[in-house]
Amino acid sequence: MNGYGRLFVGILAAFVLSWVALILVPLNQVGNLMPLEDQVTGDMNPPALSGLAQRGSKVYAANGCASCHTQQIRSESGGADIARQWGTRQTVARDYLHQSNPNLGAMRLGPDLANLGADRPDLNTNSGPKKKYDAASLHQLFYAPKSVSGSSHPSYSFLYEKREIKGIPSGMGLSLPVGFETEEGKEVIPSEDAKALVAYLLSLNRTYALPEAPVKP
Amino acid sequence: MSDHSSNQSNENSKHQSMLPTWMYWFFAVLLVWGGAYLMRYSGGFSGEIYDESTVTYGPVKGGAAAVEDPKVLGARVFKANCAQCHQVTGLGVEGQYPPLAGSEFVLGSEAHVIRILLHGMVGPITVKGKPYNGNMAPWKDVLDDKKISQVLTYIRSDWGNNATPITPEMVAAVRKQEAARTASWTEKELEAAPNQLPK
Amino acid sequence: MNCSSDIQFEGCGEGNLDRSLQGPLSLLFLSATLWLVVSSFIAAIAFWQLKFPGFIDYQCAIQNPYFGWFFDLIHQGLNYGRAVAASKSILIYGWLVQGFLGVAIWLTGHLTQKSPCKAGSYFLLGAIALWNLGILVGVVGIFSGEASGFAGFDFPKYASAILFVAYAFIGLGIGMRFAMKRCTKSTPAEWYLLGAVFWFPWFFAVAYYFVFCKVVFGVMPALVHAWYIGGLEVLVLGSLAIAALYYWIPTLLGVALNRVHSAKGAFWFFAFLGAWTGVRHLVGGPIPAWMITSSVVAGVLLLIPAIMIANHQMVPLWSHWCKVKSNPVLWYLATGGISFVVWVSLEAFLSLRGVSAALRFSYFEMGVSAVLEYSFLSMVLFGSIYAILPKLTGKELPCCVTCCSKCQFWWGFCGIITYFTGTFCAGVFMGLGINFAPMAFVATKNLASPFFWLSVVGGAMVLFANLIFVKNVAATLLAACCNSNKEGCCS
Ligand code: HEC
Ligand code: HEC
Repeated sequence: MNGYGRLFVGILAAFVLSWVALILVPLNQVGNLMPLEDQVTGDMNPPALSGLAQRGSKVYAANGCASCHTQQIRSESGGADIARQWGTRQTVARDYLHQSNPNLGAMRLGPDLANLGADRPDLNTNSGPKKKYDAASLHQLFYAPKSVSGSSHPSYSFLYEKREIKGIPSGMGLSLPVGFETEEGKEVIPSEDAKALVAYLLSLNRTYALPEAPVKP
Repeated sequence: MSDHSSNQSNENSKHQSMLPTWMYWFFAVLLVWGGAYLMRYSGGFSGEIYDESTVTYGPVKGGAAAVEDPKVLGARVFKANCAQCHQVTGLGVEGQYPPLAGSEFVLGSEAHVIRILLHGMVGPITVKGKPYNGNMAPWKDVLDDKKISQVLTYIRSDWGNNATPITPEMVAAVRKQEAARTASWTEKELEAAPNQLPK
Repeated sequence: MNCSSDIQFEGCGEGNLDRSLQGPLSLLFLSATLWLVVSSFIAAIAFWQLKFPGFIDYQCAIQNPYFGWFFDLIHQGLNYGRAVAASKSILIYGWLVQGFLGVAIWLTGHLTQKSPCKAGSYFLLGAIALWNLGILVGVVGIFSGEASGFAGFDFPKYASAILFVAYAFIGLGIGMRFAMKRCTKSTPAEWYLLGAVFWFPWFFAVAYYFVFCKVVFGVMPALVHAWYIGGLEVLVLGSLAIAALYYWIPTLLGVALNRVHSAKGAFWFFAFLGAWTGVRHLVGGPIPAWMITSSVVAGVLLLIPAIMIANHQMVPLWSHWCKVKSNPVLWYLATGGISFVVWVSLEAFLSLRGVSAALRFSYFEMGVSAVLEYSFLSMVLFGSIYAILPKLTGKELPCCVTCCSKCQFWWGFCGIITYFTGTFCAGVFMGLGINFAPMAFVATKNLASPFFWLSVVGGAMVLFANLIFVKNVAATLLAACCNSNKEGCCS
């Protein structure tokens, strides 16, 4: 073997070592996790994801929501995530079991969304009563963020279609607050993508306890 | 790779050491720090430890153990197996399925209620003053000792019932004592059987 | 430097090395440069939306019945999330990877003294065209909403596949050239170069498999992605930049590297540690603690080879400061070489758990990646391209280009320092704010605001520097094409 042969073997070894340690071993440790049955309620945790939510996860990824939002709660010593009431415990691998893309994110220009489906702290005051999102309030945030008080959210109005009402209204139109209503005779309909995105967001709820991540009472 | 990489530089660097001395010291410090950090924050290389501040000197404990409340578990066994006849309320169905809430059998001898569960019950009985004449199939092949003990502990403690819990060991003992039995119990036979648990 | 004496010219003989590479590499450098500017503009559009979230919102344009659809399209394609993904991907694959591949191809030619024959040249040209096609397809994919959602690996599946195929041709070509080399004495530049050429497809293939083939759900794709980005940053782009520095510094200065017999040790440290550094980007994340911890340790220990390498490369620069002062190419290289150590230190600092509790997820991270992407990698790439262009075209750089390259350096240098200062301060304030739970989340934004503007100014300066660079590359290639000998346009 000449000098280049030895060099090549070394280069290969550097790669393989890291691949075994950081891909193969983790695959074994967290690659085949199963949902766990809750002792009290008998629910499976994390609950399975609906097909619509699974599709919404793609919409989330494709629109780069992760460039402003994370979906990971760090432990109490690892940051103020729990103190900010974004979650009740650290998120662990099992929480993401059903996600094809866990959308962990790396920037927090917006709040963490790991538990968007649970009770949320008020972003403007951080104390006071918690709110719970439903489909309508999320659609409003994405279609007309300016109508949400204190919000500087980017708009995703292209996920919605504004169209003439022919005959009777479809009943799927968004109801927007005063000052933001659509013109007479028109309604704003969420696209399939918008519905999927919202279903996905509402499915985000990691408030159940897991043996490896107990919820502190 | 077999030779020194730079011929020209060999001449003037012969008397140079590989690295300046301060670097050796600095690198040594880094290496020691690295080892210590790895020891402290690796969570014993366990796949179950996510919070790096978990101290894992000595044997690794994989997170917190799940709580196992027999009443809670028993409630699940009950809902899955018994509620269709005895109802979730434990009140049964008049004339068909006897109640468990307040039943003399449930609240009575531990040995008897275990026997009923293991081998089932048949023939006329009276529960809370009302007559029943049905047939309950044996559970000994469906539920193991643990599950039987859980469900019994549950029916003895819910709906206002308040009797001692049943442990898997008690069930195992009765199962052993009555190992030869195949037929279901009748009220008569039960009265004849010893109402103390086997020692 | 190498044993060129016992090397015979092979390949197709006639015509020199640079002539046969001129066509493919001109195309490559020109397109890389263009992608750099495209990426900067898209980044500017993205950044602007942070302060003016509605500025491309089509609701403002809906009153316009004729162009409403156009604004809608712009809004869809260039909203913050997609614009960030596109600009980052273009920067990495269009500019950095492509540019460094060009440097690698050129260095391979010169280190092995083998020129590709005519067919080889066309082959290379085709591969480069395919690579750029892949990027174009990928960018259109991102704009039309098919991004993968893994930052830095955002191109859709099909575009990534094209890139892989295009790379395979280029990588094979480089590998074969070295395999045919008679003399087996090798130099540090070659180790890093060969390492990068092999590591890139391996890392890429693993990432492709886990991200696109959907074999495993859950955190594995995210883990693999972090691991891949670490490999790309350190072992591929970092390696190529270090290879370039190992080659150019002694060549341009005409002196030997300092204490270079420790280079082999440094290389193996670098190779084995570098492959572990990626996972630290997930500090605090939902993967078992030991994976992150070992990656953090690897990242801190990466300081060992970084300091050794800087010692080989920077000491000669320091002791020949006069030569450095007179040659702008060396300005770029020196800045890049020093930034390498700065970047390794910053990343190591950021990955420490106490620090990342506050600074992770803040603007600070943007600043650190700008140090990597701009002041380390891009600076080395600028320097290398300015050094290669005259050899490629067979002519001195036109005088005005040399002039402008100095100008570009200062804009870029001051720009990146301003940008980094801005993001650093903004990041610290924002990070501490978010980490202080009693403070309302919305209020934390205002803390960072003044410094945010500083980074906007810095970003604009960098954008301007990049524009000068395109102009320079275009002017040089054009001058070579037109065969004009005009000189003396310095003013
Ligand atoms: C430019 C950065 C940015 C992008 C991109 C972004 N967001 Fe936001 N998001 C924010 C900010 C900032 C807030 C805080 C409240 C506000 O300003 O409305 C927020 C708040 C939210 C909230 C409410 C959270 C709460 O706790 O009340 C949801 C839900 C949300 N974003 C979802 C999304 C989705 C889905 C996407 C992608 C389609 C997205 N965001 C893209 C910045 C962003
Ligand atoms: C198919 C319907 C059915 C199911 C299912 C069933 N039982 Fe019964 N059970 C009966 C009937 C009928 C009797 C009365 C037998 C008789 O008349 O001799 C009875 C009697 C009993 C008795 C004694 C009488 C009393 O009311 O106290 C107990 C204790 C009892 N069952 C417990 C259980 C438990 C625990 C389960 C679940 C593991 C269960 N049964 C499941 C039908 C059922």
